[in-house]
Amino acid sequence: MFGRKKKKPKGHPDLTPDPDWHPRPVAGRDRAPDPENRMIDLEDVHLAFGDLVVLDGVWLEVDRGETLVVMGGSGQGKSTILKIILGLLEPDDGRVYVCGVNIIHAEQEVLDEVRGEIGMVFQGGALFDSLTVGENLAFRLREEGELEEEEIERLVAEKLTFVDLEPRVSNLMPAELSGGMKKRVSIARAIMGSPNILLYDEPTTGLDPITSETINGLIKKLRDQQNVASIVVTHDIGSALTVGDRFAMLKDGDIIFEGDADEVMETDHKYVRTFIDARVSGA
Amino acid sequence: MATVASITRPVKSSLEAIQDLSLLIGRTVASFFRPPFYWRDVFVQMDAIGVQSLLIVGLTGIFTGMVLALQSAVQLQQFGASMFVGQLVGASVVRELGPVLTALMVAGRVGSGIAAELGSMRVGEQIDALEAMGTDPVKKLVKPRVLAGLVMLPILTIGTDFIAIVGGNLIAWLSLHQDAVTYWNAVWSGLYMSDLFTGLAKPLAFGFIITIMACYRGLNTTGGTEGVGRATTQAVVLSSVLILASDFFLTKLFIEIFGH
Ligand SMILES: Nc1ncnc2c1ncn2[C@@H]1O[C@H](COP(=O)(O)OP(=O)(O)O)[C@@H](O)[C@H]1O
Ligand SMILES: [Mg+2]
Repeated sequence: MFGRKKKKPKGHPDLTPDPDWHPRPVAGRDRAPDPENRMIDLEDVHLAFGDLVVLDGVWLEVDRGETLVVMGGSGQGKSTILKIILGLLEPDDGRVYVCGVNIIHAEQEVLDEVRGEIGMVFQGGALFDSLTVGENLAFRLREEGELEEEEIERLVAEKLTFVDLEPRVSNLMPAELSGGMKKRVSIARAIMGSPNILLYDEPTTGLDPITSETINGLIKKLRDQQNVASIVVTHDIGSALTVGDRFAMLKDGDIIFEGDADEVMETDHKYVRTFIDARVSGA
Repeated sequence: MATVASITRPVKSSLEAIQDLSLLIGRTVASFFRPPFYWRDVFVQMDAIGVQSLLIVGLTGIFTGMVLALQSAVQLQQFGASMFVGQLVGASVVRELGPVLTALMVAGRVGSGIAAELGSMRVGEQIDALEAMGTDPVKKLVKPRVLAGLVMLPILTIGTDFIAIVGGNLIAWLSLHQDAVTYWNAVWSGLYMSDLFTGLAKPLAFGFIITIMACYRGLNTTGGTEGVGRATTQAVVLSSVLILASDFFLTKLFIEIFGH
């Protein structure tokens, strides 16, 4: 229906930035922001579920080619932030710009267009149980119905290879996959439409260290080769330091700390220190 | 303040639930007129709702018909009116018991299945994944199930009605030594043309109730695996109560319209 046009050029295809959008410089950098490269901007986002205030004025920005790691304890609203960026949850207040388009109260077609720019790797993989791995990967492209079946098959094979899985995995059902394979399939599915933005919800949680390292490698490879903007939500500090360019700590609805790797390691912010030291010493 | 909030909260949340349900009903009905149509999913659901319910529906029918005939035979014999067994069985089955019992059985079997399936998709973030990939869960998941319910419930009900009447025939023959012609003539004479209409209008309504309630409860599942269990139970209880309540009001309405 409202699928994307053929091969889309890099940049902000089909999406006209909001005239009210004035991207801010990344926190702690004096370089002026480049609207062409700014992929995500959260401005003063508030969200409460009933009486439970989850986000209380969150500001975040991510540029193309960089990975922002959002850290924080469980229930602090990390997944909620990702769902807001996807337009799955609507904040009570604030502005959410994806490729410069404010997705709050956006028309369904605009939202679909924006979602076409985003690949999401859900925490448990969120693969469709009733479909094979191959059908899971092909799902979005078949729904859009703009590519030939042969081209879709080719892309499925290509993305499986990208995440280091053999082509025969394509015929397996999600229930037959190990946790690590599920994550990789989920990443493969997320990159099927060559999105400019990737969101990862706790990509290494529950995985053994070797598999975690593979996943970290994929996240970095996607940033470096495809120049995507990524947000990685995690409380695995090891993984965070491996994949992240910038780090934000979410606590009590607020970003209480933001900085690059050096700033994280050197900070004397008490909460952030506790978080890092507990994890680095292997808790 | 705290006490006021604790009193108003449950009220507010059930009002919100009704609002959410109305919204889902609105979006589902609107989706009937808009592409995409997932015909393959519709057929899969028609199989799940219809074909796979045949056995329980058949059993329900045969025993209902037999017990009805048994009860009415005893009563009618006292007045020497046992030739009216078919009339009694036919009218009660076609007007009330066929539609209601079929719907209750399907609510238990299919309603719980749909709520569990959509509930675990919700909990496993598969619904979010669908939406994130630009697919409307209402069109992809709810519409095929509701359509299949609307088609299959009347068909199943016709099956139940027929088997129940056959069950009655069996008892009429075994305990009253009544021949099939007498019995079926009595069945036929007990029915009005309007029964054909009401006997099919009810299952249409019940098919909608079962599938929409199950989808609603499934899509709104919270609280992990335990939540899926709760959703399943609630879907069955809610739709069963709604089936019985709407049966009353539909019957009342049809009596107003047709006069009997
Ligand atoms: N749909 C919802 N309804 C009510 N509460 C929710 C909902 N989604 C999340 N929450 C609550 O919001 C808080 C933040 O959730 P989440 O973003 O999933 O945390 P996490 O940082 O662990 O990913 C939690 O307390 C959670 O219980
Ligand atoms: Mg989470």
